[in-house]
Amino acid sequence: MSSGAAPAADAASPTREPLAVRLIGRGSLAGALLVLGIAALYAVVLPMVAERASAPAPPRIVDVGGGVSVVSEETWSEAVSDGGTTTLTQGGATLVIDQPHPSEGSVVARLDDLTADWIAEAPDGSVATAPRTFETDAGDDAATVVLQEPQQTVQAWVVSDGELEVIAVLTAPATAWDKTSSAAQALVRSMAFPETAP
Amino acid sequence: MSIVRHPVTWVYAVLLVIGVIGLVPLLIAAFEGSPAGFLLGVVLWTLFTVLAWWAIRRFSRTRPRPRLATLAAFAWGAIIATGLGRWATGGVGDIAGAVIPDEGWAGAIAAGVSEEPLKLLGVFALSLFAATRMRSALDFVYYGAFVGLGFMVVESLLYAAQGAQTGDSPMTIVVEYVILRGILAALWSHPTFTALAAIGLAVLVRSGASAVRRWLAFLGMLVLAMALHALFDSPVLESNMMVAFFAKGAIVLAVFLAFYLPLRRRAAREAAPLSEETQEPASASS
Repeated sequence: MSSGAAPAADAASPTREPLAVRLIGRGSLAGALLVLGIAALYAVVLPMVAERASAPAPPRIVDVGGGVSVVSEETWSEAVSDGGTTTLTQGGATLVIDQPHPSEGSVVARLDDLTADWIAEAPDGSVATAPRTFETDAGDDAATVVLQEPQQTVQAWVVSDGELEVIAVLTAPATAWDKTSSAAQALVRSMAFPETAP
Repeated sequence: MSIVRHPVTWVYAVLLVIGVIGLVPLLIAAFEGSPAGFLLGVVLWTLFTVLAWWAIRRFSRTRPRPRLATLAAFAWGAIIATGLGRWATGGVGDIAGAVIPDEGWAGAIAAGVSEEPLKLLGVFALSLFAATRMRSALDFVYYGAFVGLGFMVVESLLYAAQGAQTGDSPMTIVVEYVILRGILAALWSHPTFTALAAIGLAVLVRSGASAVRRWLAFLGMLVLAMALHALFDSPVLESNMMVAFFAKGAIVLAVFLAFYLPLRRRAAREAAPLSEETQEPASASS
C-alpha cells in the first residue's frame, strides 16, 4: 500500500514554513492554547454534550382540564381528543381521561356504579374484579377495577381529592395488557389536583 | 526559549495534574479490589515497559532522540491521555450508545474516537518543542509509539486489576493479561495506532505541501487509526476470540507497516551518504 503521506511528510517546501515552525516562531502560545483547547474539548465539552444527549427526556405534564394534571412518560402519545377528554395511546392501548367533575361520593362507590353499568353493556362472558384502592403520589384517594372482555381488557380508575373526581379508562388488547397497565397505573398515580384555598 | 518558559510546558503540567486527578481514583479502586493482583500487575507491567522501551529505542536508533522528551511522551500516554480518557471515553461512549444500536460496536467506536485524538495530542504538544527535534515522520512515529506505550501499560494495568477482582485466581489472571495485552498484542496495540496517526500529524505540521494535502493526510491517518482501533475492539469474529485477536491484529500491523516501511527506507536512503561524510553523535542527549 502506498500513499502520499510518506513522501509529503518529509518533503519540505522551500517557500512555505511548516506549521510547527510557525507556531514555535510565535512563542508557542498559539500551540499551547490549541493543546489546552482540544484537551478541554475532550475532557469537559464532550462529556457535557453526552450528558445532555443521553439524559432521559423530562416527563411531560399533561393537563386534563380543571387544573388537574398527570405526568406522562414519553412512551405515551397524545391522540386527538374531543368532548373534553384527554386520550393517550401506547402500543395499541388507549387511555381516555375524562375532565374533572364534582365528586359523587367515595371512589369505591363510584367505581361500583361504573362497573355495574359496564357489565350490563359488556359481551357475555365478561367479568370484573373487585375494586382495589390505593393513594396517588399526592395522597388522594383512588380505586381501580379490571373488566375482562373476550377480546380485550378494560381497566378503569376513579381518583378524587374529595371535591373533584376524575375517571380514566384504559382499553388494551390482551397482548399489550401487561406493559400498558403498569404504565397507565403509574400515570394515574401521578395525578395532581389543584391546590384548594385553606 | 527554555523549557520552563515554554507555554506548552505549563499546559503540559496543568494537564498532568488533571490527568492524575482522573487516574488516581481508578488506581485506588483497582488496588482496593485486589491488592495482590494490582501489585503484581505493577511489577509485571513495569518489566514489560522496560522491555518495550528498550525495543522501541533500539529499533529507532538511527537518530538520537532526547530521553526527557521520550519520558514526556510516555507520561502523556500513561497519565494525561488515560486520566482525561476517563471523562472523554465515557462521554463519547454515551453519544455512541445513543446513535449505534449494537453495544459492542458502540464501545469499540467510542474507544477509537476518544482515545486516538487524546494520544495524538501529546505528539502534537511535543512537536512544539524545538528540543524534541521532530523533523521527520519517523520522529513522530517514535514519539507516537511512546505515547501509545504509556497508554497501553496503564490501561492494561487497570484492566488486569479489574479482572483480578472477579476471578478465583487473581495472580493467574494478571499474568494472562500481561501475556495477552502486552506480549502478544505489543505489535498491534496502542503504540501502533498512535504511531500510525502520528505519520499524518507529521505531514500536517512539518510538510511544506499545500494546506489541503496536509489536512487530508492528517485527517486520513487519524481516521484510519481510529478505524483500526475500533476494528480491533469490535465484535467482528467474536465467536472465536483467538482467531479474532490474531486476524484483526495482523490487519492493524499490515496497515502500519505499509506506511512505516517506505518512510524508513526513504530515511535510510537519505541518511546513507550523510553518515559517511558527517557522523552524528551516537549518544542521545537529554
